[in-house]
Amino acid sequence: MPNVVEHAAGARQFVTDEPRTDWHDQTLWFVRQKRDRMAHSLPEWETLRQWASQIKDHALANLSQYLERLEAQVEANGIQVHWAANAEEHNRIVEQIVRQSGGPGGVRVVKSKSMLTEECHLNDYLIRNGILVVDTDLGERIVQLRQEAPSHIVLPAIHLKKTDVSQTFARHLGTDPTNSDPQYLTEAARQHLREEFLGATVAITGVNFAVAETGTLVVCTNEGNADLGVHLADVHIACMGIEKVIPRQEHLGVFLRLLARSATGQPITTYSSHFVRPRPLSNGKRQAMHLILVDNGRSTQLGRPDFRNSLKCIRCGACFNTCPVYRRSGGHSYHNAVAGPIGSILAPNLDMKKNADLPFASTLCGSCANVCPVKIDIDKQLWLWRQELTRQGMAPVSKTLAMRLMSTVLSSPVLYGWSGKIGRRLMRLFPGLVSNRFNPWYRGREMPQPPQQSFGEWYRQQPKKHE
Amino acid sequence: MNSRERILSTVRQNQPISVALPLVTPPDPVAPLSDTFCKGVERIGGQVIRVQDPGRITAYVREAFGPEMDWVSAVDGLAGTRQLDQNLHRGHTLATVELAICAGHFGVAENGAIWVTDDSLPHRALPFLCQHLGLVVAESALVATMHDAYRLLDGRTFDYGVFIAGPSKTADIEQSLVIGAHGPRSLTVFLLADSL
Repeated sequence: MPNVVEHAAGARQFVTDEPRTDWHDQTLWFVRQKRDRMAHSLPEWETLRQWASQIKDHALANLSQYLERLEAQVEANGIQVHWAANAEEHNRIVEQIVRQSGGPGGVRVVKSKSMLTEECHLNDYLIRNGILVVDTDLGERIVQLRQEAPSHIVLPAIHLKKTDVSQTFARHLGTDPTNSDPQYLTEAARQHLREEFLGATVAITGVNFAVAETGTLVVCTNEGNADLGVHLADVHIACMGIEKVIPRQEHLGVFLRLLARSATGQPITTYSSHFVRPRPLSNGKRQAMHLILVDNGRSTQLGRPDFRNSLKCIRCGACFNTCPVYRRSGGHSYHNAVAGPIGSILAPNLDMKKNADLPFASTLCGSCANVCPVKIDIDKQLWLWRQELTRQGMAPVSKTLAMRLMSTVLSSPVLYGWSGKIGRRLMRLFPGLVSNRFNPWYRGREMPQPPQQSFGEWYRQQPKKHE
Repeated sequence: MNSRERILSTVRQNQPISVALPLVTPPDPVAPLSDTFCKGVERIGGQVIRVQDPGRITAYVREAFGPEMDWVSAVDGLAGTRQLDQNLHRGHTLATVELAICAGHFGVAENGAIWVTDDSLPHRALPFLCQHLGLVVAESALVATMHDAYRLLDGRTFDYGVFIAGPSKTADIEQSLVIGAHGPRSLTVFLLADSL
């Protein structure tokens, strides 16, 4: 595991390029506005959110029963089910299936977008074990060629400009380095990835929703890459977190109405594919299909009453696009597969120490909770994680010390009055004492003129009228 | 204890007290379905051609794509210029298909999506591998919302089904919309008029 750069440091790095930061900020805000237009065009939007939230609450409260139902149904449909307690086990299962599938021509793996496989670092694992895997979502392919991680769960390459993509494609796909037209670059990727689809033996996909009642696995894409992979390969491996199960097929109506509208401001993704039974092959056989159910900390999170409803997340990314901190710090500053506000409340569950900085990467403005299609109280959980991390002694030292000092001063009226007086005098006499670059509060802020007296002092001087 | 048992037992232990499922009811449709549907298809980058009977589609294809166009049909009563093997087990040969016209079961007015299942396709890959896609759907087979769509699907069994809404697209490079990502570069919806 490489050394983790804390969010604040990563963000500081990100904002050094001011025009790019502004572009990032404005582009994501534009996506947020598109989401708003979609939401406002449906009078029943709030009802939909309420339904989605309730369905997920219900599904989580009966998760074990729904998982068993899903397993039975999926198996009855001819799909093999595997259970993985953690990322490592998940990766091992994938590796085994891939190796067993190996024909005389060797194996070639294509993968459509799946945040779970990012969370498990599947690509690194497979490549380390000599198995080549090609990401087929355009944004993911771009970052894969650059050996970077996606910076957004829906828009993986949103941190890049078209000139960056042009350089990357020129190097890896032989395109014209002076041409950075998105149409041209997309066409080049289309040609390149068609060959990958046609040559693939194994296709890996995520799962957006799994219906317990019917065993239907739903995968949503705009590019068609999940389907192209699955329908041409001999083997389909679908990987899902255990929280993705929903009770009934009719519930898809609620979630598919919310997902794309919240994510990109589209009324629905181009493809909402429903996989029930594997594809027929010759002589009555069918394509080999596997479903891996992954826990990786989810069952533990379910036992944390304050944090369990983060498991309702449908990975739309709306909270990213609205977040004033995410928009100005970029996804990589979160050093986690899922960045943004939702990532900041999911990550500490996986590794509290490594992700202790993330719940502090927020202004607690609450915009994330307002746009969340399944009504996760993200801002409240950020605040609760801060308390939990402080209790565990994992909060950043600068914050702990400052808070301790503040609590001492604020709990003593004498100390409070005295330090206010000293502070005002010092700021008047030596403004450079606070208005300097060593004061983190001063960076990016104008310090106010210190008043002559405090409110308390002023109040005591007023004539007492009502006695 | 294996992973399955361990996961299920932790989940069982940790899952909270249950809450009831909501009663999901579709809203009342506001405008005539076909108008909303046509606008919906156009908004997502597709185009709608109204036809009286499937036979008209051949003439349209010749006009719009040129007489040289080599195309396949997966619609009953409509013949393309190229015949496909009905028992196609590998979809790879479909990579050379320029235009495929397939049958949709019904359309959804609110988003322009069309429901397609593999029992009416020679191969699941066809609507994805072809360069251009046409979908035929009857005007009488439109529903208002996704709630209505799933009411229709309730109790119907299918092995593979997909809602297709427009041509394939991406905005992964600087959020510039490009039509024709990996799948079809265009989508033409042939809306069959209600029979008189």
